[in-house]
Amino acid sequence: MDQVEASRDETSKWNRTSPLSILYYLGLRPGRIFATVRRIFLGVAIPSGPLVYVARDNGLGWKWSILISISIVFVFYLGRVLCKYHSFLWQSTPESISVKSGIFQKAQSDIKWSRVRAVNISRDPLQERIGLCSVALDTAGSADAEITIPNIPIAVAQELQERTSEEQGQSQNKPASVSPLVGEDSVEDHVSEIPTDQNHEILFQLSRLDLLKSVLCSRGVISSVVGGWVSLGSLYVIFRQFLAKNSDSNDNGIRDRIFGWIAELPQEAMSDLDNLTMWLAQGVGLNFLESEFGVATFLAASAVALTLLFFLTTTLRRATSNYGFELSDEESHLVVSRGLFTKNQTRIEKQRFQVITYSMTNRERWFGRGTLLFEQSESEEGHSIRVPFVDETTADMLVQKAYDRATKIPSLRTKAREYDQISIVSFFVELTHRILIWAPFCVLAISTVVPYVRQFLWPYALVLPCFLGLASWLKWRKAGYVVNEDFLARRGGVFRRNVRLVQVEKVQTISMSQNPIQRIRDTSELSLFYLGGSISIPYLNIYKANEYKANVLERIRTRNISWI
Amino acid sequence: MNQTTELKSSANSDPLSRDSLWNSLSRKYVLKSVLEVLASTVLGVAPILWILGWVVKWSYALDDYPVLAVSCILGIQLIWRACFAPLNALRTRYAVYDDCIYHKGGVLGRWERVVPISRIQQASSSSGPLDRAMGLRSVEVETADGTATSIDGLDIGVAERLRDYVGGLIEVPIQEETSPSDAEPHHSETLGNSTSQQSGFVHVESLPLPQEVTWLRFRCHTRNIVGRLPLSLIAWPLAILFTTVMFFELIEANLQVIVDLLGILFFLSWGSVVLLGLVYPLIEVPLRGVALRSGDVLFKRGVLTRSVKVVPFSCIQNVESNQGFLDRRFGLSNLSIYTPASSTALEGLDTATANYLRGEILKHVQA
Repeated sequence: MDQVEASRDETSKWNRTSPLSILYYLGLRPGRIFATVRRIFLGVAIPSGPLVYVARDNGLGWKWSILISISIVFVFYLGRVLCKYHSFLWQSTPESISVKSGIFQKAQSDIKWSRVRAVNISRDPLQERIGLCSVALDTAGSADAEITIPNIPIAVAQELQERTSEEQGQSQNKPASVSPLVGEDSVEDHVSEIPTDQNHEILFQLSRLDLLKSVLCSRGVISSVVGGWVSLGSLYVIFRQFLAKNSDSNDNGIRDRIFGWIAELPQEAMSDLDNLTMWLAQGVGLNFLESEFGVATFLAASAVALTLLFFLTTTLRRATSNYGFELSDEESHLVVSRGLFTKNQTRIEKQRFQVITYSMTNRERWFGRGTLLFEQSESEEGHSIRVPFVDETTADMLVQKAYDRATKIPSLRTKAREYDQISIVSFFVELTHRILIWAPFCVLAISTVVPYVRQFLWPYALVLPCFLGLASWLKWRKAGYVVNEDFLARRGGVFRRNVRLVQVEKVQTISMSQNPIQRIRDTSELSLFYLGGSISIPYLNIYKANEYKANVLERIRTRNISWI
Repeated sequence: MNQTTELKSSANSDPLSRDSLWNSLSRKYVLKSVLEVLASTVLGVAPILWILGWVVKWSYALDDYPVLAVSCILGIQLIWRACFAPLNALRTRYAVYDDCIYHKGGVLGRWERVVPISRIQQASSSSGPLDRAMGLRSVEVETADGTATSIDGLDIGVAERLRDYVGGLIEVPIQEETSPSDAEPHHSETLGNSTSQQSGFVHVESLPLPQEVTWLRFRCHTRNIVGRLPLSLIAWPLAILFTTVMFFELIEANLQVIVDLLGILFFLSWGSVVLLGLVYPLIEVPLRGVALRSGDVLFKRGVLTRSVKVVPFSCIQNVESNQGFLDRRFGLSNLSIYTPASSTALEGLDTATANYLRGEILKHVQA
C-alpha cells in the first residue's frame, strides 16, 4: 500500500509535455518534409506491404486490401505514438531534472543541474504559434547521455536555461545574472522571440548569397546524390528478389541460389523498364512514350529529376537550417541562432570548447572560405557550433573572441608563417612506404581482378611512383604544427585543408614513441590526446618533444582551470 | 645505457631524469608473459590457423602444404613472441607522482605515456585467470578522450593501492572557483597542489592498503536466465548451423566421414552452447558487485577476467535507470551511470536496491 501511495505521490510531481508532442512523435514536423515523408514511409508503408499481400491473397480487391492494411498499421502506429506521449514525463527539482520515457523499455534519466553543459532550444513555426519549444540538454557524459524534451512552454524552457546558467554562474562565483521574472503572464512576451540576454554582440552573420554559396560548397552533396541512387537501386533489388521473383531461375547449388541473380539483374532491369514504359504508354495514356525517342527523353528527364530531388533533400535541409545564421557573444557564452522554419538556438560556454577545427573543402577554397567548428564534446552535432562559410580573417577573429584574453592563439590561415614544418623524414618514410608496399599491392590487386590491365602494367609502374611522390610531397609541404604555451595547432590536408586548435589545458594524455630507426636518429613521435581526437607530430626531435611534453605537463599542473 | 637514445634524456627540470625513480613490474610478470604467449597460441591462434589450413586443403583438394605452411607461421610467431615477451616485461616501467602517472617500455622501439592524474576519469583493476593463479593484477586508468592506459603485471597489493590512490585523487571536473572579478578566467594561475613545484614521487608500496568494503552482491534471478533464452535457443544455434552449412558447401568432396563428423560436432556444440548459455548467469551474476564508499562507487564483475572499477561521484554526469518488459515482470531494474569517459551499466538489480543506489549516487553528485 505504502509503495502505491508513494508512487502516486511521485507521479503528481511529474509533468507531461504538451499534446502537440503527439504530432512530433507522428513525425509531422513542419519544415522537415523529407524527414516526415521518410518517417511515414518507414512506419506505415513498409509494415503494411506484407499485409496487403495477405489481404489480396484472401480474395480482397486491391483497393480494399490497401485501405484495410494501411488503416490497421496506422491504428497500431497511432497507438504507439499515444503510448509514447503518455509515458513521457519530466520534472525539474531545484537540484536536478529527470525524464521518464519508454513503453516497454522504461527509462528514467536524472541529470544534476550543475552537470548540464549545453542547452539547445528549437522551435517549429507551429510551436512558435502556440508558444512551445523543444529543449535538448547535454552533459559531458558519453554521447547517448542527453535529454530531449519536446514541446514544453517557452517560459519553462527559458527557466530551465536560466537555471543552467545560474548553476554555472554559481560555480564561477559570479553574482546571479539579472533574470527577467518568469511567470505565467510573461509567456506571451516571449512567444515571438527565442529568449536572449540583452548584452550580446553579434560576431558573425550569414548573408543569403553566402548561404547559397555555402550550400553549393558543402560536403555531402555529391554523396547524397550517389546515396539516393544507391538506395533506389537497392530498393529495386529487394523488389526484384523478394516480391517479383522469377520462378524459372536455374538451380545449381547454393552458390547459384545466392549469387546467380546478380548476373541476371541488368537484363531484368531493362525488361522492367520496358514494361514500365509500356504500362505508362498504354495504361496511363502517355502517347509520346510509344516512339523510341520519346522513351529515351522520358528516361533521361526522370533521371535528371531524381538526381535533382536527391540533391534537394540535402541542400534544402542545409539551406533552411542555416538560414539567418547568427553567432553572437554573450560574455561567457557563444550563442548561435539559426533556421528558417525550425528556429534553433544553441548556447555553449566558451570554456567548454575542446577543439576548434577550421576546414576548407576544395569548392570552399575557390571562394576562399571554410567551415569553423567549435566542438565541446563527443555528443551530437546539435551541441557543437558549426559556422559555415567564414573567411580566414573572420575565423581568426571568432577564435580570438572565444578565448578572449588568451595571448598566443595560432592563426588559422593556411599560409600562416608561425607553423613549424614537420621533419622531411616523414616525407621520405611515407614515400618509401607507399612505393614499396602500397603501389605494388594496388597494381597487383587491380591486375588480378581485371586481367585487361596487365598490358598497361609498365606505364602504370612508371607513372604511379611519380604520382605518389607528388602526393606525399604536397602532403608534407602543407602539414605544419604549432606548440606554444597556450595552444596546440596542427594543420594538414592537400585538397581538403584543415587546421585543428586545442588549448593546452584540454590535453588528456600524452604519448611518445620511437621505433628503432627513430631511436638511431634521435627523433620520436609525440601524440597529444584531447577529448575527441589527437594531435600527433611525427619525427620530432627528441629534445624538442621532451620540451613540449614538459611544457604541457607544467601547464596542466599549474593552471587549474576546468578542462571539460 | 646510451644517454641520447633514452626518451628521458632531456636536460630540463623533469623529475624523471633520474632513472632510479622508475618502478619495475613484478618479477612474476616475466614468467606470466611467456605463459600468456603459449596459452594464446595454443588456445587462440593455432586452432584458427589450423582450421583455415584444413579448409583450404579440403576445398581445393590439395596435399598437406597449407597445413604445413600454417604450422611454420605458427612456429615462427611463437618463437618471436616468446622471445620478446619477457624482454618487454623486463623493460616496462611505471612511475607514480602526485600529479602524473608515467608508463614506458619497448624492446626495439620505445614508447612512453604520461597521464596527468587530474585528467583521469576512472581507475580499475582487473585480473585474468593466469594473473590470479600467479598473484598479479593490472591497473587501468581511463581519461575523457576515451583512451585507456593499462599497467599490467603488478602485485596484487601494489595494484590495489595504486587503484585506490588514483581513484581518490580524481578531481571534480567543473569550474574551479576563482575570485568574483572574473575578468581573466584563462589566466587564473593558481597553484594546483602545494607540492606542484617539486612533484613528489609516490612510493606505491608505502601507501595504505585499501580497507575492505562490503559488497552489495547480486542474486541470480530467473530473469537472468529467461533473458538469455532467445540468445541460447535461437541465435547461437543459428550461428552454429550457418557455419556448419558453410563447411558443407566448402567441402566439395562431401566425404561421408567428414559429413558425419560435422554433424556430431554440430550437435555437440549446439548442446554445449545452450547448456553454457543457461548455466552462465548462475556463475556470472553472483560475481557482480557494487560498493558505495565515501567518495566513490566500486563496481566489480567478470568470470574469467575479474575487474573492479572505481568511479568517483564527482565524475558522474548522469544516472539513468531503465526497465525492460521482462525486468518489470520480475521486479528488477537496470542502472546506467555515465561519466565523461564511458558508461557503466548495472543489470538485474532489485527495483528497491536500484532506487536506493540511484538516490545515494545522486545525493553524492554535488554541485
